[in-house]
Amino acid sequence: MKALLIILSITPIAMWAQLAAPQVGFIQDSGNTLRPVYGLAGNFILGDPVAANMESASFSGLFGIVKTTSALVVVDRQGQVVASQDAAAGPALFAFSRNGAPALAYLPNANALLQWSDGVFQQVPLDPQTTVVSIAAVDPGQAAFILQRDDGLWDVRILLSTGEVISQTAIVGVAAPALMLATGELLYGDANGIVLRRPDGSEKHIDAQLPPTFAFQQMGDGWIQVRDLATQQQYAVRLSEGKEQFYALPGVDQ
Amino acid sequence: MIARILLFLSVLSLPALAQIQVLQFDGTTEIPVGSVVDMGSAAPGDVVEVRFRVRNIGSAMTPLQTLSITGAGFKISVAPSLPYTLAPYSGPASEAEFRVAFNPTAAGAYSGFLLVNTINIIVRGTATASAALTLAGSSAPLAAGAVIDFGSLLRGGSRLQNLTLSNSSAGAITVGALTVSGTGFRGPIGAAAPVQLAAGQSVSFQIAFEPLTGQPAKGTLTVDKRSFSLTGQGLDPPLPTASIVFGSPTAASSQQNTVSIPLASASQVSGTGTLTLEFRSGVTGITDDSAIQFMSGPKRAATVTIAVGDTTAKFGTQSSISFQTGATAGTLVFTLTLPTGLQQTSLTVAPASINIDTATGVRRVNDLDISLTGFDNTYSASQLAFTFFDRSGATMQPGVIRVDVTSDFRLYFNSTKTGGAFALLATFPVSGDATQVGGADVQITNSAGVAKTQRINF
Repeated sequence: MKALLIILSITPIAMWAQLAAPQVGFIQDSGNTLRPVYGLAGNFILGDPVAANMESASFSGLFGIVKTTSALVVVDRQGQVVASQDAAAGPALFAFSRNGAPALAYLPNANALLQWSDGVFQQVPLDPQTTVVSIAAVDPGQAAFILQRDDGLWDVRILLSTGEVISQTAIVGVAAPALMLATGELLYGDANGIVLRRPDGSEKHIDAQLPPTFAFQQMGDGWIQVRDLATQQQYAVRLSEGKEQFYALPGVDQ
Repeated sequence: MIARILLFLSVLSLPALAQIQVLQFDGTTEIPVGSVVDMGSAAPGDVVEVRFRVRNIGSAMTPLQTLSITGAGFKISVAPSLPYTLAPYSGPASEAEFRVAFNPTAAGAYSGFLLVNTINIIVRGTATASAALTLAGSSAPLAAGAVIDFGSLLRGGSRLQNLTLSNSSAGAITVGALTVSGTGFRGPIGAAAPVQLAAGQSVSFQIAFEPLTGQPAKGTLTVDKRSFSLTGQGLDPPLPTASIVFGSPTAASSQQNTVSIPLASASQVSGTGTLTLEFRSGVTGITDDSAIQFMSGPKRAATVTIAVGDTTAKFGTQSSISFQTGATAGTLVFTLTLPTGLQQTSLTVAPASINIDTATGVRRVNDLDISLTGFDNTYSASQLAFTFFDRSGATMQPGVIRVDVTSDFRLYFNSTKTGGAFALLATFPVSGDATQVGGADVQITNSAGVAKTQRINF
């Protein structure tokens, strides 16, 4: 114990320089601009746009990947470009591993899966897929595809090294849109709000009045954006355990 | 010779006198007047008005300087200011107009003299016995053209006006026509033409004003050849009483709440208004918190619409609107402005001890990072206290480490745009085996109290 008494020292000056505005993450607003979201749960403030003409965007909390009409762009917490790579026009789906990296990007129009690791995108071999609802990086070396097939949603896992399918599991009782998280939890909507289905099959219900048409995008660590596809209104879902809640985000026309 | 000169002068003056021509005008046609003008007939008490025009048919300017009338029941009701210079006729605009009113007081024949400069015209009129029209509660007969005003009445309502037709003459009178016309007016109720009135007899009837819109209404009551104007003002019913109701009646910082505008009854009319949100800060030196806002539309003002049948006002298509309470103690004042008036309700956000939203710890090789996010709605954070624990849960020396952060937070709050919300990263350099540090507790003090984290594990 005595040894411990002397191993801990404090440098207050370094500590106090670290007060900042809290940031929830980034959203793709109804005008397809990328905006930081500051504040806390229930106390959101939209920042000024940092980029325009987004086709898709997703943030892990540490960094984000956005898809413009012509490129995949990796940005940091301030929205500054870290790296970019040309990509065909069209939306993209993204997935972050639990610690943020590696991350995955799927381009449906090109049926291309790219892995962001060590500062570069690398293409992953992939057989043609049917409609992809969501992708996830649940296990190291694997990618999960949530596919829309004629008989419903399926969880298809592939090896990143070869693209080989290693498992296929029907997802019962869930309809798109759905989002699989790095934890393996599946987020989807029902008549009463949002449901978080855990890997063990248990479910957590989050009260929400969902818009008629929407999409899920990760906007930060433990935060999912619910994009209303018909109006300017945007929403956020907090998934932190014990603090799960559905929120409205400030309108962008303000 | 003198006589010849006088004759010559008098001959010269004749054309000048003859320059004036008097015409009767019925609104569309001008007819030259002869020596007699028949003003027509009128019931005693009624007024018949005839329009005349005076024209200069010569080539030089001529004054109209005399205009008078004699005879009981006649008067000049409208006349130009005299003397009036008449230019040679070049169209209606060069004429002067005056009017003669015939207003007999009793049945009989009437006559008088109308003098226009030197032109003398006989005017005649006849007053025939007719039914006098009176309003209920009045004995004064209404003159033809009189206005019967029904006042203002809510759309869908009905107001009756009682009237009486009386025969004060010695003989019988028959009212051959008794009609009511005009949208919003109904009648006559209780009498129908022909109405036979014996000497001294009277008949009562009613006219109903039943406005269908919130607009002015005009109609006509016709009694034989006499017309009376009916007027009334339709009114839209007022919007029902509205109230301001919150989804949650209590307020605290960093909350999202909803506000709705229920109506006391289904609205019979449509209307619009505004619900504004004003923040009155309770923190000295802080005037506003931008996070306090409606979640859609303009930040601090929402348009409220009410349609017929609504029992709750709408915000766009929604029956409520969400808002945030921000992260500053104070009062949120909601003001509802509708055509019927103004209402105000407020929510008070009380000063509270610091709310810690997240608290995490990260162990690095030579550092321990403690991250806190939360809000201080008093902007008065003053002291942090860290207590580190070893992996067995025992408090590590030197025990509680207290740091005064008053100035740091003050500087931060003076520059941030996130109200009382903050993210704090405290880094503790460690020498030795940092893995022996198992966790930490953090206390943070403000003017409202002390907040404590759950145990932060590394």
